[in-house]
Amino acid sequence: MRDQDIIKILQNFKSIKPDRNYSEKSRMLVLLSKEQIADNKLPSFKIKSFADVLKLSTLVGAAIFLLLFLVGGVSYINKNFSPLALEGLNQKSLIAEAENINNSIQITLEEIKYLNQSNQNAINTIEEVSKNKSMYVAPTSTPSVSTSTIDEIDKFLIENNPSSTENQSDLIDKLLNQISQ
Amino acid sequence: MLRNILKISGMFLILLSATATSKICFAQTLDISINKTALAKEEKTEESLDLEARKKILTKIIDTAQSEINGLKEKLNRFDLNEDWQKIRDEFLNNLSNLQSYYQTLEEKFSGEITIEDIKIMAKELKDRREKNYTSELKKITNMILIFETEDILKIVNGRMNKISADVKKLAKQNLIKTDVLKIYLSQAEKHLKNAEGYKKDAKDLYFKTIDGILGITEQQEATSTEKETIIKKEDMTEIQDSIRNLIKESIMELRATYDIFFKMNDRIKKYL
Repeated sequence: MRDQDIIKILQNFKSIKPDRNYSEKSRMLVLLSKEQIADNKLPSFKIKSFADVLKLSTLVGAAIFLLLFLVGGVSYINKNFSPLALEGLNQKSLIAEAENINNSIQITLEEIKYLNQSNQNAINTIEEVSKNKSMYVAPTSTPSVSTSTIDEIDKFLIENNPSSTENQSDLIDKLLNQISQ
Repeated sequence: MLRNILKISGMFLILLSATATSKICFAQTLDISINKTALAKEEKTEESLDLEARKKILTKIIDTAQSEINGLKEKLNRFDLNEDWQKIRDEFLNNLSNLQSYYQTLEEKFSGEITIEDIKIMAKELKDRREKNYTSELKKITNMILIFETEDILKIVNGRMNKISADVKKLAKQNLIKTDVLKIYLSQAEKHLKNAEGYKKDAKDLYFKTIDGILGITEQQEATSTEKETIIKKEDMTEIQDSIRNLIKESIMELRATYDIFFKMNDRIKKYL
């Protein structure tokens, strides 16, 4: 076979075309197979409509509710039906309640103590003011009465700030003794 | 002639010396006068500084008193009271407001022109008012606060007692642990709580019974009153207030004893957990 014959044959191949029905069918098959692959890859995240969203959220909600119900139920049963579930002798709540009461009494007693002392201090200072003795002393000499008195009042107010670290029960005893005197 | 000349010159010398002496005297007088003015000025400055110092002290005391009164009012207003006790509270609130107005008037006076003597008089009045009225009023108000705070605490402790009592019953029914000791503790706690209630009630009753005295009978009223029971002298009033405070103190001590027993019960229960 000569070269020219071969070229001619090859050129004839160019004009070969598939059957029209066959090509359309094949194309459809190819396209369909792509969609199926995509569906298989991400089956759970494919949300097509609002109904799907609703369905998904209902499922999640139901799961959470069930979980909470189980946890809460166990806790309730344990609290109310357990033989040693005691509301009154519960240590945590007993301590918290006692502390609240203690603090409340302590604050009131300290306030009363402060008010009494403050009143007595004020009476003593006012008495000084009503006397003839000068309240002003030149700054070069000993500290002036006026300044020291005001400082005393400030100091007193600060000292009476209820922030003591002293044992609360002892403090209450001490305060009760003081106010009852 | 010579004699005449000597006479004239002698007179001239006398005149000259007299003039010189008078000049010196004048200068001395002037000097004294200047010194006196300077001294007066100095005295005035010191006096004004003294006045300022007195004003400053009283202003500070009044400011503190005002905030203390606001605190007392706030505390009194916290309680949920019945009609009778509301009247007592209103009376105290009214007295406190009057005291605040008085302080305000004093402060206004300080800002005007006043002398040291005025300040001294004001200070004396203020001292008398605090000593005679406020001191006893303060005791009454704080006693009322203590009574109602104790009453609030008693409600809480009663609630706890009911719960613990239910717990002990529950444990006895289940028959899982021995409850004999718990029952003894419970009865002790109930006794302390009952005592606390009793002391608080006594304090409250005494306070209410002496209500006329608490609200302050005027001297005229005291003089005209024929009923012995209603006459409460100031000294008696102080004693009554001290008794009320002691009763409240006893009540608080009993509440503490109640909680001590609650904790002992809790310790016992912990052994079984």
